[in-house]
Amino acid sequence: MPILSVPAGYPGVNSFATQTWWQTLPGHGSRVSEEVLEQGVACWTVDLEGLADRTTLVLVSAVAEWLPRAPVADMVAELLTWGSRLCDLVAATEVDRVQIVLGGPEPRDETELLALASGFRLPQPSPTLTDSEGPLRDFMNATLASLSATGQAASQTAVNDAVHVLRRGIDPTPALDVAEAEQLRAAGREVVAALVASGASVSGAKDLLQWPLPSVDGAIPMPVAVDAMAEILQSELEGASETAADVERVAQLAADVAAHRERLAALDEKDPPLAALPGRELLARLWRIR
Amino acid sequence: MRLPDGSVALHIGPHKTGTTTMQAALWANRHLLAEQGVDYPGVRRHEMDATMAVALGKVDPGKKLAAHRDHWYSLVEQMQAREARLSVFSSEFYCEADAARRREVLERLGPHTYVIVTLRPIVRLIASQWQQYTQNQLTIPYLEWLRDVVNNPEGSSLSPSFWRRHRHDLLVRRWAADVGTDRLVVVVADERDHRSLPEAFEELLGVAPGSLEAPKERLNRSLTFDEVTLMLEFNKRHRDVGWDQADYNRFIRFGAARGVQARPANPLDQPVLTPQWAIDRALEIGEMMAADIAASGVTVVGSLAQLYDPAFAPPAGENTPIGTVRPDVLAGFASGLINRMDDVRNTPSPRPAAGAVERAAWARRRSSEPELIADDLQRLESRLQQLREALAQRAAEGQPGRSRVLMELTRRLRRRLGR
Repeated sequence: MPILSVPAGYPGVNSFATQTWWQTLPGHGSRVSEEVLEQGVACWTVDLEGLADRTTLVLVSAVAEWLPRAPVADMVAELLTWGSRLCDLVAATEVDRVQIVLGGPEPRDETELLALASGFRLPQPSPTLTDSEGPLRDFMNATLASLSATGQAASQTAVNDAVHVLRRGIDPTPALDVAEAEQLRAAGREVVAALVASGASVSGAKDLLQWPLPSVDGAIPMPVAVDAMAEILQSELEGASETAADVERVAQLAADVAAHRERLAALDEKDPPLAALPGRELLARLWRIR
Repeated sequence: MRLPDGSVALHIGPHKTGTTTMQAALWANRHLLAEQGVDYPGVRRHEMDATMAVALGKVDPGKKLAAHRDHWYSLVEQMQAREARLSVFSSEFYCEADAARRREVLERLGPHTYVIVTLRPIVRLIASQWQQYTQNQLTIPYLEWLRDVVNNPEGSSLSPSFWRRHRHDLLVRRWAADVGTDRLVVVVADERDHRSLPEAFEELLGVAPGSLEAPKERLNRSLTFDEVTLMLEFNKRHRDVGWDQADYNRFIRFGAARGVQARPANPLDQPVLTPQWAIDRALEIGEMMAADIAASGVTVVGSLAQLYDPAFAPPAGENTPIGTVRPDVLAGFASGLINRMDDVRNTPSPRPAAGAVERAAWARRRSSEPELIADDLQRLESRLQQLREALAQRAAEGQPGRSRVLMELTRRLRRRLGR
């Protein structure tokens, strides 16, 4: 039976998974149960129709939201320890698949929980920008003004995804200098690499554990800009939860048609149909067949 | 110099020598040229894919070599059928053709082909060529790249195609050996006069002055240092993540980079600056190449001395590295990328060789329009059935026998007799 396990929340992990949240699921009394994993971590389990296999879901929050402020060396150590704890959890979990989702909206219902557990993203709402977020507003307005197909939901989603990365990546009130922030960013990259290497399926925004950088003269720090553009491509790959089976069927049929057309073309090239042969060649064949 | 009537003018570039401007002028004025007996075959400004297929034997990932090669042959057939006074083929990708492919191109175009090589001082195009490479996955910073390129005019290890394109003397000698020195024309555009290149072509083609007025829109402008730094940093990420090359071409090279170029360059942005040592070396190489071209015996329109005149060198300098990007530059990148993603929704099925992102972008956008999906399904299923039947018929028929050959001959005879 497809069972979804969701470890109980702790700083940076599954903050949505509370008793109150589970009670919103229909029939929660008979479907949802709480158990304790080997490391003493509490874990909710629920039978979830539509899930392909036994899965553990870990929804991670942005590092700047939960990492306690301290001298930078301590922050780096804390972040690396946090990453190791998560890797240990992955190693100790006896399921078919651990799905680590880096950021994005928290699930509001069973459908969204299933989408996250299946490795898809939930669409992010359009960010409301404040007066102090000038560079972001400039970016968003200039991008939207240059889109050729206005009103396309997928285009708006792509812009939103990029703006969310920029907002996470720009520190409006930097307490760390750039060199310190870079140290933390390096640690964040290390943790994401470790999570990928742990064997878990990692989806979501790869910048989520990157400490933000200060904006300079209204410009966007280059690493943050690159994160945002990469996110547009990545979210396209992971955002297809709404893709109907029919779409997959069209893609398969198109590939089949192309393959058949190539086989026919190869046959035609090797042995052209009579209708394509010049008259002289036809006469020569007639002579040969005699 | 005016090319004789009945000639085919084959403009082979090389890159960054005004080819885009000339192709835009030929395309925009094709009807006016046709009235004067000059044919510019093609269905677009620059038949890049068709030329790459026939001149390089390859096309960009995600595209079909055979289809583009066939398209080039069909353009040649169209050109021959029209029997215009003069015909023009133009692509900078011809310049990289090896001996066998040059022979193939020249044989197909016929014995009355003249090869036109447009040249600019190497010192003026070197920065421009580097920033063009950064729009095609290059991750090497300018100074490191420059050191490798200008110190190795026999062949760069970082960009092997650079000197294949820009050893202009060897390029001229290669094609002159194939076509004859009397059939190769070098045009050196006057760097002080942007009309000099179209005027030289107007004279070669024997058309009225002003017939090759280029469109006003600015095409293919060079990226500024700020813009190119963003490309370079993104390329590193693209390489590290390992996304498809087909997706890079579709969404970055022909999407994001075009989006950046579509907005006017900010006058406050730094251009890409070339240091004095590299300028000096490029001028030396330019002088060496100009002497060799002069000695080759080909026809030269314009002044070869411009190719090594220090007066035409760009201002020397080195860019200050930047760690930020302005929101409007990033918006150009993002909108170019997203617009390209939106384009894919208009195709009824994903391209067979599409990258993973392109397939996902297509599915995501197409799935929001269920009625289109229903049409797609019906059309593809019907087409697949037809193809299956055609293949089954071919398998059943085997080698055609005497009676089928006779039937085909009879059918043709009847058609010819109008019965």
